Amino acid sequence: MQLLGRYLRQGDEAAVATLVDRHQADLLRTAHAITGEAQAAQDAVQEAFVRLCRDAATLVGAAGTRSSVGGWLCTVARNCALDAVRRKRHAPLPEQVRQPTPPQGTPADEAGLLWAAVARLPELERAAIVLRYRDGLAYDAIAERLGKTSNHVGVILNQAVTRLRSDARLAGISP
Amino acid sequence: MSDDLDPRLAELLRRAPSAPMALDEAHRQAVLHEARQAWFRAQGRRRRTFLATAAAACLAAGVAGWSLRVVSETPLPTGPAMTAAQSVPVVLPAAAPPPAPAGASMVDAVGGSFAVPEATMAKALGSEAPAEQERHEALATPAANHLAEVPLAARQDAAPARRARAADLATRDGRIVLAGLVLTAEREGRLPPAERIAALRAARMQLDGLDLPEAQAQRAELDRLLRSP
Repeated sequence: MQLLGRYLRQGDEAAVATLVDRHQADLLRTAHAITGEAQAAQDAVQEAFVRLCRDAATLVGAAGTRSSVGGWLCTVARNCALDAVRRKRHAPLPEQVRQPTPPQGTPADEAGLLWAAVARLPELERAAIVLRYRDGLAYDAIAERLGKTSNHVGVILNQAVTRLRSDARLAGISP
Repeated sequence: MSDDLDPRLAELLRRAPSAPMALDEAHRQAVLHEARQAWFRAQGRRRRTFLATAAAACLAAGVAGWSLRVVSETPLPTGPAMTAAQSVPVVLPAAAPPPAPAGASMVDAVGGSFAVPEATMAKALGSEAPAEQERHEALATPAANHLAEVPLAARQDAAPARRARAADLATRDGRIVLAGLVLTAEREGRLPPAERIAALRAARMQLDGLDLPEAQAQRAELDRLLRSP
């Protein structure tokens, strides 16, 4: 919040650059988990930072009630990513998934089938699965990034795993 | 509730392509550019807000000042009776002079010729009351009445020369009346012997410079009385 105040008072771009450096990794991970595309994630995170600059005065003025720039940025980036996904209803997960590079020792069709099943999941379930199994985040961290409670994240993950098991079994992926 | 995924499926998911860790240069520059623009826009808004506030304050002060001026300069509401009363010329009562101390007179301010002689004449006449009364009567001459009947506004706008002339007329008539009083007292033998010559000289001085027939006659009589023992 101090960096934001410095930018607001002096127009200090270095303060904004510091904020970008500090929060971009988390925001990109979350946006990428939701959109499944690096370019869409970059666009969502850029939009979040742009809105931060535009609403800096409001944020600094409300610093007493909401002092977390990171939380605000995460909420905005998540909403931007969800908007992007809804605009592109059929957006698949990582672009490599469309033509997945199979891990070594794994049949190519197994990975492709699995990621195709992940891509068909609803946005929140897909994001929860990616944040949980790709990035290894705990429930609390996932809940913070998705704006849900930990219990809700558990429910979302359970539903997502059930769907994936079913799809994998149907696809013939060996457990 | 269990989210434990099969180990093979979990391993496949773990090998998924990772998310980018940093904004690419184009997006980063876009963010910084927008930050610069947003700051300038915010500065402009603050400046406009300040100017608008200052202008509103000035406007409010101006309106308040104008309102006070209108209220202070607006005449009281008048009815028909008040309007009619205002159209009647103001008639000022003849100014009652304050009691003149011995050796001084209010007429000094106008004519400059009453001073000690007036007091001397009044004392010679026995009392100041008749002198004052006569002087009031003298001031109530047609000329003085004419002056008093002039509407107030006209009097205020009159030229100083006109006012001086009216005052001179009143003073002239008063001087003749005073000299007449002294002569009357002399004829009736009411002048005390010790005051007689001084009173006659004072009356004679009052008539200096007057060329009216009445004044000339009084002057001639006073000269004769002063020459005779």
